[in-house]
Amino acid sequence: MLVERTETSSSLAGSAFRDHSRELHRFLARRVTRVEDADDLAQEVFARLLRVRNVELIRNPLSYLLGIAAHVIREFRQRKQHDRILYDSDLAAELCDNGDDARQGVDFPEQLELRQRLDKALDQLPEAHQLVLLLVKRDGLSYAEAAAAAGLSIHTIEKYVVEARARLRIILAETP
Amino acid sequence: MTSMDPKTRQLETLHAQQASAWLESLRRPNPGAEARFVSWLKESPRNVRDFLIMLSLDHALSEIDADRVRNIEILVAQAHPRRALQPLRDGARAADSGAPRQPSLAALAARSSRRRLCAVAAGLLVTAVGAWAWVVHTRSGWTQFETATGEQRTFELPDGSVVYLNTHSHVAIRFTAHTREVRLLDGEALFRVHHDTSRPFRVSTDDAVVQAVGTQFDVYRREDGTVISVIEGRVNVMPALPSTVSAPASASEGSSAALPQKTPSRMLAASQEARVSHAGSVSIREVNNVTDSVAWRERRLIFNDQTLGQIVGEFNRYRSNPIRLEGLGVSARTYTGVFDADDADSLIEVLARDPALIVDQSPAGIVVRLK
Repeated sequence: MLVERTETSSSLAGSAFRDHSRELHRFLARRVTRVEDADDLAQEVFARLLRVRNVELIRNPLSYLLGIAAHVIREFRQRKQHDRILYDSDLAAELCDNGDDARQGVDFPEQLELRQRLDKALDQLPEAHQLVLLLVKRDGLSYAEAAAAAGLSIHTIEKYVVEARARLRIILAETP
Repeated sequence: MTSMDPKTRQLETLHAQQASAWLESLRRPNPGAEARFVSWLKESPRNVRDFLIMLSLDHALSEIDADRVRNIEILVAQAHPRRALQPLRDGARAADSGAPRQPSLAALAARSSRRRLCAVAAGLLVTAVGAWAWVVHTRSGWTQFETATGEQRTFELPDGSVVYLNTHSHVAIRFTAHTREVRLLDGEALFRVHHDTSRPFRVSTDDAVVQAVGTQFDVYRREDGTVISVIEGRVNVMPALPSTVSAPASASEGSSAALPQKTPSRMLAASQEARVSHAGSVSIREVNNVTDSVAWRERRLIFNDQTLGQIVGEFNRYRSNPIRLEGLGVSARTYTGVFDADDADSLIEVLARDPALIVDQSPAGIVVRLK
């Protein structure tokens, strides 16, 4: 398994989301900035993870995790339809969105909003972090290519990606 | 959320950094990383939440600066002022040969904050050590671990023993050269004790003291006393007489020989369960399926002809919004069944089918009473 996986280098999460549910990403996109709102989902996913045997989980943890999360969100939606709830923005959005597959490629407001906020947050990062994110995420370069372009080591590229993502999350959480 | 206080910010940064690092480690095949990742996820719902959010953020990043208003060359030039006019290829070679680069002010600023993050990241490599960061160290040498309602956590202790802490539980732990002492202050814990004959492993509650050398057992502080179930090996159980245990330190000092002669010590083997009442009486029984007592680790609740009072009590340990039983007689009804701790709906469904009961669900909570 020494083959370079260029596709995953730009967006590991992207391919995993494609395999599972765009609904999940929509759900999360709204919650990136209001982190505590993701607690219900996390509690439920956590509880189910505990019931899965480790051997199975370890084989492909990411797709397992996303599979469970997507399933839980579907259940949340079904449960909400049964409950007596006067108005719920999630439910309203989901009701407008029956037939997920037919609307591939359409941006939902929460994804659009997240993207705009990310663009703004990017400016607050140190230049070195900005540079690495643009090379790797926007331009889709492999880490080796990005290292060559930026004049940094591959190790540093990797480190900056990790740090930049963490900083972005904090900046997003702090920006109203 | 608006701006955080420095401490919250530091903690949030730590978590975000951790989640981001795990995401990164899954990018490439790395033996063992998956297993470590899974056990990190299973540590806390918070880790699950942070990771899911990081995934979503990473996903959104693939469309960052979609209008391409940012110029890579300018950023490269800012990072390497003296190489701004050279082709990128040369810059890469210089980097590979290890030639010193002149960092920009921005890069220097990034570096100082990076150092902070690195210090933080260093702690992430050893999860067992990381777990200790969550706990409160007290001056007396007791280290405390706590779980919130609905949360379960696993801790590895310095000797290699493992503590599985159930929902809403609290332990204090102190290790010395000759003893390994644990106080179960609230809730329930399963202990997998690393074998060490020179240092007995002792768990105490207000009711009982359990001593083991190397074994697996569960201790549960209930309202009416303490229940000890042995999964593997054997343990010694003795009631905690007020004179020996009421002060936190006293349970720890001295060996069992130093305990008063009157104290009856009982040996408990695998598949046995002891109940120690507040008054100090010990009753031992055989259990057919001792693993049922630790089904909570899989968040299963198993009831065998138990009263509704007990069943609801168990469910409520996992719920922030408790189910209430109202009126006489309702608590005494008995049921048998296996439930998910997180799925109180399944219990409610069962109860709703019982013609003798009324189940009232409202935003204020769930109330069960007799018709």
